[in-house]
Amino acid sequence: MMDWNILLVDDEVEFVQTLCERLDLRGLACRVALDGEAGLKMMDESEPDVVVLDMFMPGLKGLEVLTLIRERHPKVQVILLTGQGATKDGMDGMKLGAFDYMIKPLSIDDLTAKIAEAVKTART
Amino acid sequence: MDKARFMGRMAATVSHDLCNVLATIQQASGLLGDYLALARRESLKSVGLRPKFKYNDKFEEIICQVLTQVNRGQDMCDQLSRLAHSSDEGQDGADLALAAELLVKLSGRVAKKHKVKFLVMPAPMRCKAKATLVEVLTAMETALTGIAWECREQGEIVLAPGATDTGVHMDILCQGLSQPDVQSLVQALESGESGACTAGVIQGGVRLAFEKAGLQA
Repeated sequence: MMDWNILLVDDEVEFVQTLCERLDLRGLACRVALDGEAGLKMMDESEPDVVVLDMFMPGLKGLEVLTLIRERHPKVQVILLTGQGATKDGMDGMKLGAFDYMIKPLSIDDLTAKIAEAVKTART
Repeated sequence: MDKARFMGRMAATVSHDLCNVLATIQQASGLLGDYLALARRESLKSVGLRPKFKYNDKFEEIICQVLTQVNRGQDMCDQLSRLAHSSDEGQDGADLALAAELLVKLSGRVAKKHKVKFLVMPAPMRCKAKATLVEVLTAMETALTGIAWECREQGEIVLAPGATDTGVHMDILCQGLSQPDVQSLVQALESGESGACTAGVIQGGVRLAFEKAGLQA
């Protein structure tokens, strides 16, 4: 098990739980929050290295959550998840300080590689 | 245009939800693959005491099929999303080559139905029409559907963007089109024209002529 702490924030329950299980099988310690508020609360309790954050959720939107993370947890790296055709939102997120963005559906290998890069950045 | 924007917003919502459905299917089938791989490793470690899962190869084949369909769905989702945003984008003009590529990808079913192939030729230069993307797509789709029916089971239909000093155009060509067919198509297109372009007869097909973007009135 690697000592990387990952927080997944997405309101798509089956998607996020399955993704978490797959990351877990690859040795990444993973937690799940189903909305932005819950994610921020979990971060206050225990700060992860990387947050994988869906941009379109009920309640706080991804970019709002990102802004709050940047204020409260500046070392934490954020990877945004967007849908097809929403690359502009991903770019906007990077301007607000996201590490990168990825488009759903996404490959687990690509996500793991991106998380590895983000962890390296978070710890330097 | 408000109706187009409404439809665009609805299509964007559907496209977003569809992406989530595909993402869930993709991860679920991926997880199945992960557990198969885990079972294989454990079987090897047990030095033959634990038998290999009997249906391993069949499961892998099914996972592969699911992932192929997810990729197919992802491509469709991408096109749907581009279509959905077309009512907001391209208000200051539309690139004919990009519009043709989008239309061809969205018209796979028409091509299959009429047993034809659509081919987009590269534009010799940037061909930007003054009309909006929705107007360009509407005109091109009407012409393409008509030609696909006339040319059914006759091979390739070519979409060739081009430009002159005063305008830009999209030629839609098929070797199987006869001159009377083209004449009647142009007449049908002219009767239904929205004013975004004019339809004309050319050798082997139809030319949709648009006003060029960026020209002074």
